[in-house]
Amino acid sequence: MKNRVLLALFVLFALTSCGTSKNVTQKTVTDREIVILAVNDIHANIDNFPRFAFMVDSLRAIYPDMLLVSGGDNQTGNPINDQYQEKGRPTIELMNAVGFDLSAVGNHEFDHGAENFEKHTQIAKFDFLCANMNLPKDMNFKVKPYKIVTMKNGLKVGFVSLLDLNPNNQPACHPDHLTGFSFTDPYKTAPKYLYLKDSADLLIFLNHLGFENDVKLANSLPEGTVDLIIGGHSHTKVDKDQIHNGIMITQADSKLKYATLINLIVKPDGQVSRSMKLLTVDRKGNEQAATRSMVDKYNDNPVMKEVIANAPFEFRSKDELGYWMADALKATAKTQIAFINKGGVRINHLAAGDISRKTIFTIDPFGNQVVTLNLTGHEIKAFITNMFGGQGYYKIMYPSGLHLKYTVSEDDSKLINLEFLNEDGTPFDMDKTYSVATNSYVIATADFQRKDPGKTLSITTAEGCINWLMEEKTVKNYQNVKRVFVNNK
Amino acid sequence: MKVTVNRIELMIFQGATVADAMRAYYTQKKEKVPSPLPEAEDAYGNSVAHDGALTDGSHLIIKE
Repeated sequence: MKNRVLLALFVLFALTSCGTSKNVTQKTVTDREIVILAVNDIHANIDNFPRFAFMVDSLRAIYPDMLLVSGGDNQTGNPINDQYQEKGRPTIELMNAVGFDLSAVGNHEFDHGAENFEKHTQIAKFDFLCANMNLPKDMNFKVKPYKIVTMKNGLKVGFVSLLDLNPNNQPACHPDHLTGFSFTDPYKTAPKYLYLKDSADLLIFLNHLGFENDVKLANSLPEGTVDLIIGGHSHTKVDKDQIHNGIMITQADSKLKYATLINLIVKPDGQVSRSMKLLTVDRKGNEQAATRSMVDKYNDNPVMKEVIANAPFEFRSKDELGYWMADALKATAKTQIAFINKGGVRINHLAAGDISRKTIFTIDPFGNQVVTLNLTGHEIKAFITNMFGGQGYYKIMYPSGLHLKYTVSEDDSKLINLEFLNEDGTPFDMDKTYSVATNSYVIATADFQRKDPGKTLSITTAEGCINWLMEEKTVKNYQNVKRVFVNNK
Repeated sequence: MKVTVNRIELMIFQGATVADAMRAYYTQKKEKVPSPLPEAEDAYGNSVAHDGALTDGSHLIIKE
């Protein structure tokens, strides 16, 4: 009885205080309705699932046939999920438990490697959709280009999904995870699926393109062909009606902070009326007990404390840790040179002994992405010079793959000269082009002329370091390592 | 890729987030990057999260 009262109160709250749409059409007896709850970019935020599950239960008490869909990027963003023994499994199991019906494929679905992604599609009790992706022939992915769902009231609803691609015609993820996949332009792919409207009452795109790209898509489609675009990727909080070329576009921010409740009513003459409300999920409140139990179990997972390597020698300073992290970054990015900023190293000392995943997230808790660029020696010099004097946050950078000789003024405020040497002490060829890695924070705040703006590898510096350590097992002694010389010291 | 922040066009690395573009914007303007970063909206007046993905041609307005 108490639960029923709570459910009723929750639903009343959800439908009255969080709504934004003013375009609610009255339903008549002959109308047929479909209700969809849409989220996107969950990014493994498993801690919001118990509250979200309660919301879903509450809404299903009113709308038993409600469809639950995700606009993709279910994965990546929480070490408990991302470093799980079977990477990414907690999120899929929670999505199963809550009862998702469909998910778009987002670029972060690839982050745990093709084999893990393949397994996710197999254990998912919901369908993954993507129409502009060709799957590897030697693997067994369960991904469909589209799905037609027949509701109990007889409505046929076609869902098609499109994934955003970068200029290299690939989704934004580590290229090593895309072996065997190929992709087609989402805007050229979309028209090929408009025929589905002939056999469905409603046609919906469940996309991972980003809001502005969904607007571009809507404007490119013939009016009246598509009824709704449910989006993801840009983490856009659409809290009011967005109608473009007659197509409603929704998106619910990210990380299960919000969900969009969408009502579509099909009139006997085929006319469709639409309304949407953005519901808040992440307030404190009622939780579904079963999901809470699952999340507690995942959070108690010993994987974060598991020893992944050993450091026989202690790290006595931030400099020693910085050189180590720069080496990890260079190895991760497979570049010739890497740079880490001083602020990118959180601690000043690390005792000799075992290193766990948690150790690495303590040293590098920032979630910065690995970024690679091709830079000439002169561009690298402009970069390091700008880091010293630009925002003034970093001053000196920790390098891997070369040595830096700074000559600075007595009060450290001015950089008088900067020289590079190869690691063996020989002169550095300034005219050559080098592959360089750094983190996304550094390169976003670097103001220097270069031909290559760079690209992310869609892996954080901490994750790269963990992967490297799991291969290396033993950390070398950094106590005698010195790569930065200031005024010859 | 090219993104526009407060009507200023920026060339930024592929895969950059809203936060990256905002930091690049302040850096290009020779202003200190505020912490925490202010909120931002897209060209249609929707709020966008700092960790949201940007694509070539994205527009942002910083709400200061």
